[in-house]
Amino acid sequence: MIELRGLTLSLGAFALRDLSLTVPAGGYTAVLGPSGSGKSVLLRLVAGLLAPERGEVRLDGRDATRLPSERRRLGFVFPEAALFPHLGVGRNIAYGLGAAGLPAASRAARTREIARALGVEALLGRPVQGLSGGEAQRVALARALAPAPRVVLLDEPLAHLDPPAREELRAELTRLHRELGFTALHVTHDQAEARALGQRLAVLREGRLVQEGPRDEVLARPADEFVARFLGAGAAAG
Amino acid sequence: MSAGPALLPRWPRSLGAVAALGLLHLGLALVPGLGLEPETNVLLFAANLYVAYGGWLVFRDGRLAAALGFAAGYLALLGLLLLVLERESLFVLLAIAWASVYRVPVLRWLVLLFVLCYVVLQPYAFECFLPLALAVLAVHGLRRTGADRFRVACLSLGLFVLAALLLPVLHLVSQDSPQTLLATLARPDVLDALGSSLATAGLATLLVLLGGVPLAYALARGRFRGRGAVEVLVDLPILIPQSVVGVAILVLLGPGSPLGRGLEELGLGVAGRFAGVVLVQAFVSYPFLVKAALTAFEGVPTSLEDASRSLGVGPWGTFWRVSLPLAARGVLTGVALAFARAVSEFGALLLVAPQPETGPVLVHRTFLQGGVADSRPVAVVLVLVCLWVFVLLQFGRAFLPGAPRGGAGEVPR
Repeated sequence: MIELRGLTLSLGAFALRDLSLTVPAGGYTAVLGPSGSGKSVLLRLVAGLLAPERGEVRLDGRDATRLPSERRRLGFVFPEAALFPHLGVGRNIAYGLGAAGLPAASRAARTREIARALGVEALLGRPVQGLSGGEAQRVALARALAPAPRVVLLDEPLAHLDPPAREELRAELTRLHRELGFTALHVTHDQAEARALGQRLAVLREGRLVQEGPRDEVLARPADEFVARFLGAGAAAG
Repeated sequence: MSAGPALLPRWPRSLGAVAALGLLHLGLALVPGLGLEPETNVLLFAANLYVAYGGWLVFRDGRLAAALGFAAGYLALLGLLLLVLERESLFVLLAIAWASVYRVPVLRWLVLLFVLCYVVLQPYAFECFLPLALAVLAVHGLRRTGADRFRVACLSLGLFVLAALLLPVLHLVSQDSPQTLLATLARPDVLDALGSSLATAGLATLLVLLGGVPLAYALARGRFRGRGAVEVLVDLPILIPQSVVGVAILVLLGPGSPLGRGLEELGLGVAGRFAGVVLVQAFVSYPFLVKAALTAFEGVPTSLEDASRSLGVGPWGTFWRVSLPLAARGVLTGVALAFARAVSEFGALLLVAPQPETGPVLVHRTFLQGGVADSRPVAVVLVLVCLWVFVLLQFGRAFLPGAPRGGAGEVPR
């Protein structure tokens, strides 16, 4: 479960103002908004890569506001994979296992298990250079999921993929979420992606949360014209 | 004639050409006062036959300009080597080389360059030929990539200037025979100076590495007030003259100062001590390491550090497992530069600690005692040893992981 209460942060001209949002345990919330609306800042606040000026971040019931990123036990997926270029695929995936307290003996098995779940088992011995965009993002997902985090944050994970790879990985995300049962906060500017993945939708505009609720409800009753326009034809029809 | 170009002219022409050349050489033998020995004449005849065949091959491939260039080169060799310098064997050798490689442009330029260096710039042949040949190869390589004339011209000019800068060093290195150098290397004062140079510079580099890498990392990652000022201050040792560095260190830590006296009583004085040499060398080499390491750390994407943190690895572990390995090449470049700078320090050492004697100070002393002749072999030994260490450090880079390069979308960033 992710609970955000009154998060506030100014970064130069941009400000995130008094943002509160709850992602229920095991839920999947897609945060939508045009670029510059504060989606990535929101995600980095949850991850502990940025600190809020005011407000609270609670993960699975405990206050994580002052915890550094490495102690929040979450998975983070970056827009451009951000694989470690000096490590091979296998060592990228295994990177977080030691810190997660997994004994050295079982790390290889866990690496193989999660690589199989993501369909990248065949890539384990390879260097990360030369992976296709889709492969790299799968490896990045495997790396984030390997320590079995309860909370997974996804920052535009499909934005840099070509359409076929995007479709494929979107389906994969749905399946993984169903099987592993983590709590997901997924940030995107793509309405179709948000509609396909999010059980709940949240719409951000200029650092403010405009609307949040179950997907069908948000699609059926957009709070204002901005949300309606941003959610596009699907919302109008629904 | 269905197969490719013929390997020989048709036989009447071949025979005619051979006969004409033979007659020419027969005529030369009969010219009184030329004093051409029969053996030499036969050798020249054979060489000319080969050259004529090479010329025919060039001509056969069709371009008149190329054939004229071939002939002009041959005539230049003939005039220069045979008529002016009267060195028949060298002429034969180079004429054959010319005819053999003319059709490969880069080799043609190298032969011309060799003639220029070996014949015209004879006392400086080695030191001119080596850098200029590298320059020819580099320019040729750039032209093959299809670079425009401006870039080729820039590279040519730059390499020419670089060759001119290298000339004194290469000339110096080529002066003494290996025997002399080995004898010099065996001298106890030279061995001592080299030993203390390597020891002090090595220690200074280590200190600078331990002190410089954290600062470089902080500067690369930090956004704090005064960051710009710190970056300028790091450069300070480069900005002030060496002798001023020496005076400044003596004023603070010399025997005349309270701090210096205190250190002296503790047995830690710097003036004229090993510690003083290390201190001076660390002082002057610090900026080189910090600059190189700063650039290296700036090249490591912060998203990789964020990824490491989100995977449960703290800042310390992230530094060791991600930031430092990815910056290692740049840091090692900094180590090589800092070491080179530390070894070459002279001015401040002369004031602070001429003893224990390091390499540059020894060169200076032998120069004062015996002039250029005495100091030359010492200088050469010093250059060779320092360059060797520098080369080793640079080659060490190849064994380190590279920093990620931006580029094709498939490269994970």
